[in-house]
Amino acid sequence: MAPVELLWITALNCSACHAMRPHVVALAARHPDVRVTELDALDAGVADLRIYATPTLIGRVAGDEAFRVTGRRTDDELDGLVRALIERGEPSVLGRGDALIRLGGGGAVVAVGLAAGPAWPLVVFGAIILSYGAFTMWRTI
Amino acid sequence: MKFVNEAGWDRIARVVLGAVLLYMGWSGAVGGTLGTVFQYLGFVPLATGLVGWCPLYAMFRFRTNETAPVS
Repeated sequence: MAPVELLWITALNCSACHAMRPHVVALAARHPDVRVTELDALDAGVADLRIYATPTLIGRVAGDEAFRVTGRRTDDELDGLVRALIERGEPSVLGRGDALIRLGGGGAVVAVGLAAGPAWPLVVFGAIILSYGAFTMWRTI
Repeated sequence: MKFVNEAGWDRIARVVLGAVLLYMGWSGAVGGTLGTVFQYLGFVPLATGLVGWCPLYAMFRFRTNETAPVS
């Protein structure tokens, strides 16, 4: 599973942040696989995140931002966001199916190209699809 | 993968159909104008099957994959 993390950006004078803190702590306890990091809006490095309001919750999968929400959220909303984030971090079955279809299709086109002549344009086209399928499969592993 | 509008069976059927059409066209099993048409027409179902997106489905807001993945 790709690393999943939540960045929670707060501010000292933000009452909504204080009200939300116990809920985020409980959320982190319910989802131990998700790394939750609290950052103060004044912390160095937060400027790169382009935060316009607090509290802001940013979900990341393998370092890529998956969602960003601002404002106080209910427990159900937070759970829904984290569940979606965890699903994104899981290896994609669809991606593997995609790779299999490309591998099969590429192989079929190469076989057809060899059987029909050989018809070299088909063989080359099939080989390109096959390579792309192999690349997609390698990425999903 | 949000753009995919074909189910797995649909994609496999298209790839098989495309391969069959290409074989008939390029091997000379079907000659004449029809053979030439098959030589190029075979790429259409093959490509749509490999990509998983059918422009006609998109045009008519139809899809065979019921559960569109969350982006």
